[in-house]
Amino acid sequence: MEIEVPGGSLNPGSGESGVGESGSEKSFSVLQVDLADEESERENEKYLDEEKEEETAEHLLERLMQLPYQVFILSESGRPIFVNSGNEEQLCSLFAVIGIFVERIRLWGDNLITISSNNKHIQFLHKSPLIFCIVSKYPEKLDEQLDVLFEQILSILSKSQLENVYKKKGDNYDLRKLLRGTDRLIESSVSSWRGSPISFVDSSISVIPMNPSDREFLANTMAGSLGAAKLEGALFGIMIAHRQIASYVRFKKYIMHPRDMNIVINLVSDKSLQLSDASTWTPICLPKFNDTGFFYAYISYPWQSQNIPACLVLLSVKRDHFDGLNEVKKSIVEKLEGNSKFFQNFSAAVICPNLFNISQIGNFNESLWSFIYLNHSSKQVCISASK
Amino acid sequence: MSGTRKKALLKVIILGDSGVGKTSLMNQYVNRRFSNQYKATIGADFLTRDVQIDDRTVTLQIWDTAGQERFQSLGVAFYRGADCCVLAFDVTNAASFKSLDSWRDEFLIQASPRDPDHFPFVLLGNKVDLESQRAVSSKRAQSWCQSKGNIPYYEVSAKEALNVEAAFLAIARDALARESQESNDFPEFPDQIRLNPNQQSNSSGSGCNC
Amino acid sequence: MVLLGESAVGKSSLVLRFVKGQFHEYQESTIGAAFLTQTVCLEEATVKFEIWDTAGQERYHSLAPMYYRGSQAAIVVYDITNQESFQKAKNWVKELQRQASPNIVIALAGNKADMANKRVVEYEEANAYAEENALLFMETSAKTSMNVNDVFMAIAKKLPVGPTQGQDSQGTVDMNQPQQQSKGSCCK
Repeated sequence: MEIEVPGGSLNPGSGESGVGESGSEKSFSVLQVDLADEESERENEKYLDEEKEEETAEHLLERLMQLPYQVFILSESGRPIFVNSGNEEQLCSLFAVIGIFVERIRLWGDNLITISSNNKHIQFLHKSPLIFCIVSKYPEKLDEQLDVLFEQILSILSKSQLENVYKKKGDNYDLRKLLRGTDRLIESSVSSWRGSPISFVDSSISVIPMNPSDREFLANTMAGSLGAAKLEGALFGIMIAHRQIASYVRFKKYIMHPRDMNIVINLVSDKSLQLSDASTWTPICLPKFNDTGFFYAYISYPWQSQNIPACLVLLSVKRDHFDGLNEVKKSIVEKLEGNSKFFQNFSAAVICPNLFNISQIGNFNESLWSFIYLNHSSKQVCISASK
Repeated sequence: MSGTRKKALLKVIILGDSGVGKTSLMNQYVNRRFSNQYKATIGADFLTRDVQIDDRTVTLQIWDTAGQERFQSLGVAFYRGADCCVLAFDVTNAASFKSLDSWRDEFLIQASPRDPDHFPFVLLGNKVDLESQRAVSSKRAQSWCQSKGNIPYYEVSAKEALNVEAAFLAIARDALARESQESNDFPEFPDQIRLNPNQQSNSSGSGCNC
Repeated sequence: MVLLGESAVGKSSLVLRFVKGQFHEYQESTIGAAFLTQTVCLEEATVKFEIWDTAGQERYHSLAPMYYRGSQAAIVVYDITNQESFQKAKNWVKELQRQASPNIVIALAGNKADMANKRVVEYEEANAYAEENALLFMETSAKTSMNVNDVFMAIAKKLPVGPTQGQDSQGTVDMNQPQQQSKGSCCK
């Protein structure tokens, strides 16, 4: 599968100029069964003077067609909630069409999953009260991408809030109100998936290369400080850089599902959280762990002012744990900085990550170009640089 | 700044017998249409129109039905979540006027709005330019409107675009007013997650720092 | 202390201006709440601010008590070019009066004062409201830095001078006794 530029944005200057095929109209016709409606055709001719605005709508669709993918989120009643190109109002007719397709198949007692052509693949996911849809040049793993998208929404709202809000406020509620400010998060949940080694293996997480002894020291330090704090309900500690895990510690018997891990990674990778001399305390739902309740995440970039982009995340189920976790972070930072050899290696590994190298698995003949290593139990995946 | 308010978006359903001229009215009114060819297959067209209400731009997502019997079962999702409903009839066709009751009833049944007695409807009487062929008087239409909770009535024709605009503006304004009346109660955060150490019985071995 | 107010009124910008002297035209939406500290050296005392910069979006509203409970002070921010944000600010004041600590010092800040040509909330109106409710009031501009330090300082002045309140540090404004302060040692 081609590694592509995370795409989907129509922002000018984003570089998404006409890569790919023309003849977009033909591709789109796949969705239409071509029964001529004489009345409509006649009406169409009458309004050629509206050509200018008509062109804009068609032009917009054409531009979308050029992009590697587009994701749509809508309510069951066809109301637009999100499109990664960001102009859901302009595209609201298209949202209605998606909604109606899903509904029509549902009325047949069936479930619309996919529509495919040579050049375009459309996948649908109906998770009441929402519908998710992806239109993609490539057919691989569209179902997983939609699951990732759905879980991202859940992580913002939780299943309980999502369902309750429609029950309470009616089917015409505009969910965008509750999702205000999260467009970037939603967008990056898919775009980062598409650009990452984790797309090769279902539900995996990516690991940043480090010396085993450094990693062990890091993990022990984190586990030690967390353990000493005796904060009941504080379950996970993670060190993240460049959307990869440096270290992950967990309270006995509690495991974080890789997809939840990627939700955490997606959250902390948001630019707005990369604050120096500040920390963030925010609710986050981890759907695979518990889709009806929230964790609270302590997020800190302790060395941001030194341009070391490592993020420490501590997760607890208790919302009053901020002060305790703040102290844990201070303890961890102090211990890590106190070991200068470790800290030097760690900074280097984080500032300029070395890719895994094929030489690390031995001397093979010329035909080995790259490897992917997957640890089945931890679901951690490493991908090497190509030769 | 990011996170600024999006434009308001209203779902508007247009109902009425086929042949009353909904398509020509809509074609005149909307500024963006992706296709007029869905009606034959799905039973509806989907159109977009922006309107200005005070200082707000509102996008109308318009669902225009074919109006033919075989498409009457469009499915609940078609009607649900609508903010308002436009009923249309042809003033030269009495039968299309008589159908209004069943269109309105069907809508209320399928959409199940939370406050059916105050749901925003608007009635359009089309083809008033064919005055000589008129079969339904203005008065008759208006009294029907009054009997249904004072639905606003607009007489329109494909040639008089202005009234169509007024009708949509009125209904959008009504729907928006409803929206802002909504109480400001905010979603409650769920209770603290209850931890059950036995729930996490997945593969991974002992408490390893991996 | 805690900053409250509708989304996009400029809470984060005010904090950024106060703590770092910076301003970004396109400030990202806050996620959750950011916690920052700022220590200011005055002639007579040192003031340590522990600031909760909360996100203003609807979905976080019911979490607000977590941040304001135990706070000694709050800045309720609105945007002078946005009437709704002023209404929202009044709701915040009401909520604080009902549910926060009874001694909480509240300041009302009308931000974006640099956009005078787009003003919709008049100074007099907000000032009258503030007086009725015993609030500190200032119009501020994070962009030009007008009144930004002043509003934080006004709060500091209104709080009782005394030793630190132990480990319950959420939102405390911490003022040292003057004699503990060695003159001339300023903290960054």
